[in-house]
Amino acid sequence: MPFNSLSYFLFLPVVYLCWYLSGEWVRPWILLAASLVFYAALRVPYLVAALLLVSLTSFAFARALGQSVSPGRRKLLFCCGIATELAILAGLKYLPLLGGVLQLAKAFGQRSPGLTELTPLVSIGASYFTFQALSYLIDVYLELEEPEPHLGYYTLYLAFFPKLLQGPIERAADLIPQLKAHPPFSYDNLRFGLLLFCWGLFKKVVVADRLALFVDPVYSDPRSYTGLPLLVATYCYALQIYLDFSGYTDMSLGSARIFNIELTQNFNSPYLARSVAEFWRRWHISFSRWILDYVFRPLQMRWRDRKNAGTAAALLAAFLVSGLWHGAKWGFLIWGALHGLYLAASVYYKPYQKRLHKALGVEKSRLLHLWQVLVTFHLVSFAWIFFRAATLEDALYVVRHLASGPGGLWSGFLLAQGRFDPLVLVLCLGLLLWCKKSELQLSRMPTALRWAVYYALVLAIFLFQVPASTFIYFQF
Amino acid sequence: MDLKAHLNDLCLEVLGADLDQSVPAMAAGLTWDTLAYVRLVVAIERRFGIAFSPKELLTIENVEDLLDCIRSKIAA
Repeated sequence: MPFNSLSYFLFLPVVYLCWYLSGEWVRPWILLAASLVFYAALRVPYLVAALLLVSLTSFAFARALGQSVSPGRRKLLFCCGIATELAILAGLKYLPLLGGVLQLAKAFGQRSPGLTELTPLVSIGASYFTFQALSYLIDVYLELEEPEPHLGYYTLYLAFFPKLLQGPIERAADLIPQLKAHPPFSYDNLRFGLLLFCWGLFKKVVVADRLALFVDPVYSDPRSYTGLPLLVATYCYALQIYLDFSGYTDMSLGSARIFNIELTQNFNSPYLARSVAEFWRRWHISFSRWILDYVFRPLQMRWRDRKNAGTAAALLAAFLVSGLWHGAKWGFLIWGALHGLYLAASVYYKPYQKRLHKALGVEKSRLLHLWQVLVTFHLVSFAWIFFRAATLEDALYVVRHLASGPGGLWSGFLLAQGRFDPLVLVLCLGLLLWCKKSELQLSRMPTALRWAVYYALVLAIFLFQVPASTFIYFQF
Repeated sequence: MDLKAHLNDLCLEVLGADLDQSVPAMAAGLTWDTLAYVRLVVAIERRFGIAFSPKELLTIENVEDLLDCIRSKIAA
């Protein structure tokens, strides 16, 4: 049940009404039942079974860890717990990998999105709830967190429907106390949640899906284009994936907020980052933090005697894991490797870069700031080519032909889009930028103006939406 | 010289910053481009001839945690 579907527009108010009209002690169980119905609505029964299995096993291992004092037994329980969760994830997501090297090679060579086409298995949401279970087990093992004594609350922590399909990846310590709390009704939370939901819907169905009209024709058949159309499609994809994913996150945060629950903010103007390291502090923050805490830091510390080389290797390894998390496809692996390489290289050049800026006296220059933002955006956009292209061959074709001039089909490409969509797109992007820059505070507006904005937003969604499509990050 | 003063000198030598400022800031702000924490850990291990476990390294959050950890290792 995607957030931009009619069924969700009916589901959310019904769940809210049931939740609102029921007693405090029933509310968490209404949310749990709603979350299971929400997941079951995908009509993939084994996913609900996998969710319950991950909940049960991670809950049981964490309880056993909490009761055990022997270091040897704790380590054994921890390893078994992690292996169980990883096995469930691998079973859902990478099962074809076990099918044999030949099949794998075939998948990587095909003009297909990768292994997902070889298997009927659907793993929507599995990566997210499994990563939450893994972080919970690690935190309990490191005694950073007490094991949760109630299976119901723990299952709700993993299954809570606003963040089930695409995150944010929440920490138990952040979410479980909120699920247990019973704050009084808050009109502000309800209003803010609904507004955030509508804002996310606008970003998704009006802007991101409209950008897809420029991206999809080119990336589905890149060999028919050279030069500018490839460049425009690549820039558009950089914007599309951001608005698609941040739109989803807004809808997720908005859905949770009406139940008085605050989820982690996943984005913070990532394309304004001045370095790739800063980009990863602003992009998919909950996932980036997960990889940082549970993959990069342990590896960096393990390889600490190798100084800069150890850190560089840990960065590469962490981003390869990040690439693989997205799926078994060369494009994702290269995308991860590129980000790893960008960061690993910065370990070596950063001290010299700082000295150079100091020597030139441009440390606080606005021009340098702008230059760094532009360079970072282009590095990130370059990596997106491998992420978006259907095959490695297509990605390499796009890279080789990006700078081959205007391209014979440039005018044809633009004309094919018509005038309406580009105009709406430019207006919407301008609106998004203006809202961001002016830090629009609706709550400070006069009531009449505020309601006018609400109506305008809903009207824009109805008038300018592009026919329904799925969210990009659903596949992960 | 007590342990804290000794560590403070080491921190100034390695990072050019005070121990009380550096450790909490590093523990709270560890990110993709944080190298200072690793440099300090390696310097402490070499100076005192000790080795931190992965768990200890991930759970040190302030100067007191660090001092307690070093003291327990020296005493062992």
